[in-house]
Amino acid sequence: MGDHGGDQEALKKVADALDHDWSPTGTHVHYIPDLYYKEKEQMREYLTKRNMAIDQHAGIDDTSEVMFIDMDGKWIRKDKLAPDNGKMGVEGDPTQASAELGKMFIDFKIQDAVVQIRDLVEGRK
Amino acid sequence: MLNQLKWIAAAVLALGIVPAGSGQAANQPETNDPVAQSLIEMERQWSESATPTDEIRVVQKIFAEDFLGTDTDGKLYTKSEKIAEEKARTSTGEVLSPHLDEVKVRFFGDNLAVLYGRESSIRKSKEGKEYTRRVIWTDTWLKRVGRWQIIAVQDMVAQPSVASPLPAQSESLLIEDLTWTEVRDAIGAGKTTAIYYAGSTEQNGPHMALGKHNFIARYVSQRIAEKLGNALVYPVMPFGPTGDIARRITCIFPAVSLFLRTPLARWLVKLLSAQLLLDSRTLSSWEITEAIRKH
Repeated sequence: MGDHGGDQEALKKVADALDHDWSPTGTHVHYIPDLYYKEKEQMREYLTKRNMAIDQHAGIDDTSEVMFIDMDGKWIRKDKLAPDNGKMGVEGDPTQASAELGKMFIDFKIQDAVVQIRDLVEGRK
Repeated sequence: MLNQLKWIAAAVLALGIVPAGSGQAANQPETNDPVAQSLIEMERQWSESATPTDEIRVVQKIFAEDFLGTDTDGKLYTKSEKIAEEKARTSTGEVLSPHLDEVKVRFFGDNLAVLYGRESSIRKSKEGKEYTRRVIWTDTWLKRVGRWQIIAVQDMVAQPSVASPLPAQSESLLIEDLTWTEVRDAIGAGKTTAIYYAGSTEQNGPHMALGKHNFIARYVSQRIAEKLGNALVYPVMPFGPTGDIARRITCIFPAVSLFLRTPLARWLVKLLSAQLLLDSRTLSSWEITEAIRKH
């Protein structure tokens, strides 16, 4: 599984290839798309309902998640939060981010991945 | 005399309701107190719910809408989160004979009660060994509009009756924190799922550090492994195909990343980890072209 959009397709390919190679030895490799795609759907649904900007990159979704796990305050520069102006690598509006939203999005990821891993592992038996 | 009375009245007003509560011992109910009995009964129904459906039914009834609880992982959850979690639960087989062992009730006034309880269940570990899991909890009940509901709970797991063979420091789920013998023993004890979580190092605007995906990956992968119970987390891959605006900063990462995806790197990783650590992946020719074009 992966947290980065650019990795998703390649992760699936590698998982399929390794699963093919290793299955005879009893080792199985599963790609877990729900961690990424399902969480994105849940996040978009939540933000749309509240008329909030939909995340693209370094916007509400990403920034909120890091705010939630950034216990020591090392990774977010609160004085630099600003909406997308086309120049700074932000797509979305991180000023609306919060640790509370981040907790919810992170919990979506965990729950989505756990359910899918259990399904895939049990489905294999 | 009148003045004196006024002073007393003023003093009582100033103290508000405090004299009624302060210094007064919590009321320990009689054993057959009907309210205490009904609270205990509701706790029993919750503790001894055998299936997610039962549990949801009980939670719907006894949790207040503004309920907040702390679970055994230290995580705060709401009523709707609890219900969603139960709905998503796919496996119920590993919990056997849940039992409410003991409850103490204390009333604080007419509308507030705190219940202190212990419950146990028999669980089956992945290697088929049964053990007893004991949970100790403190639940706060509030009576509003004639109805008793739980507004807060705090749960903790008591030391398992089967002593863990591993000392505390090696209970980490990150293989980076373990020695090779600990990883071997953990796999032997049933942690046979390897979580491989790919991150990326990339620009995230002027407000967020480059390691965003990696921070999230380390946190989320550990929580997934905890929930699965049979998993270990392998090192997070910190590179991915990326880079645009801050090309000056990120352009080195695709180069490293490309190396890591070569057959040589893949073979090395496989060798070093006895096939347990999954390497990144092979890039399609299209992806390589794209990566070169961009950088």
